[in-house]
Amino acid sequence: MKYVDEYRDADLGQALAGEILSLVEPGRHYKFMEVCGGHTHSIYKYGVDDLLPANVELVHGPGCPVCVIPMGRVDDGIALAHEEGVIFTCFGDMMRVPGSDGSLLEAKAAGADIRMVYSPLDALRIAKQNPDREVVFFAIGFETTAPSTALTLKRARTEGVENFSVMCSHVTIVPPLRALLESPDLRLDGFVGPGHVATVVGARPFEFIPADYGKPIVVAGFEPLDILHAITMILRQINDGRCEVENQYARVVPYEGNQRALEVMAEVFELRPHFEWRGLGFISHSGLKLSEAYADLDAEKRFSVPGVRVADPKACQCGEVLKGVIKPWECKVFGTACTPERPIGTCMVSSEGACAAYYNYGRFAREREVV
Amino acid sequence: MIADRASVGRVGLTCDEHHCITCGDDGDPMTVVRVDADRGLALCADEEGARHTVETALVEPVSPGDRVLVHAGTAIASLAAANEREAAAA
Repeated sequence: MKYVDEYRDADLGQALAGEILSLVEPGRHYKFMEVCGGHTHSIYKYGVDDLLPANVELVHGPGCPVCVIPMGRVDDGIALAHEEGVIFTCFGDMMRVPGSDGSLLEAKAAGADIRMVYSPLDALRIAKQNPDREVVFFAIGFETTAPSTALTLKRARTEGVENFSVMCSHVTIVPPLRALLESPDLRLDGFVGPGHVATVVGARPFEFIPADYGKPIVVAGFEPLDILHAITMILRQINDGRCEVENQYARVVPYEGNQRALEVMAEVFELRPHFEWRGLGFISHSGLKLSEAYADLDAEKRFSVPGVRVADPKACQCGEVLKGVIKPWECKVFGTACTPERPIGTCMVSSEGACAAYYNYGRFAREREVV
Repeated sequence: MIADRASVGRVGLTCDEHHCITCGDDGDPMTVVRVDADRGLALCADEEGARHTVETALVEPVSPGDRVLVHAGTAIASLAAANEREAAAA
């Protein structure tokens, strides 16, 4: 299939691996962060890390939208799901994220009407099919997913679907990156930028990374060759003494983004003053809520939600994993008390989470690094 | 072809124990089969041939046969535009 097969070619992959080897300086350690959980998943799924020299380390960033949802937010969702007459809808991975007293999946088993959907449009369809019930959609995700929620809210308004509302937990990518770059315990040499977020917002919002922090960033696609190519581009910038935003994923990402998506997001959402990120704490202007014009479709206004902040479990080190301070297996509960079947931390829930990706695919690399 | 480690490649658009298409920030290439311009929707086929209702407001106008990149039920990019950018870059 065009745009897929040619980016999984093994010979080209080996050639790029050779090029990376020729670009690295022996004795120097390189630390690059892939921001997006989709990249983390591809790196482990295709073994991209095994093609890299030992002195090129990939750090897994905070770009998994499930992994950054705090426990209190899950508790709010479960409380909404238990409201009389409510059908609660959410994406698949969100069902398994543990709250302080179980997950949405466990709440479903206990009798709450919770349904998995593939899109907000599916949730709206459920609302139209059940006019005597209230349908709530738990909206999570970065700027890739937020336009979809915004369009569905506009559609609900246009079609007069009054029994539909959204619990908005959308987040934005730039504030957590800035928070990470300000973190004193993190030293990075460059970033692999999030391809599908950039499809919406463009590559321009990432210009602050080279401008303010002197780090190169290459926006990349999600096939294995995309990631290898992005790493060669970062290394070339370093070797050439350049520091800029480059777009490896130009086949999909316009530098200025999708203007229509940005307009609909501006109409439907506004920034929250602050939003809590799991492991990273409160970050200013990093979360979205519904704008005044759509306040009547805001589930948090339509229903009463506890809104209680719940501290992360003490044993869980998702925060350090999300910041790249420790590797997943260095967490005290990795693979023992915390597994994909019984996750304690959110990084073990979603396959885009660094811990689950590592648990499912990464054991060989761990052995290599230990040796 | 580079094989995935656990041979658990996706089949159609599913959320399963190995992957959630929406949580993973996936973009799935699809082909437009039929357009409902009045409602801003299109019936699109994924690589397995399964059909999905897709929001097209962000990439309009679309026509049957067009290729789009779909995330969470919304076409976020037109692959025709991508082709043009690729040709211009070449």
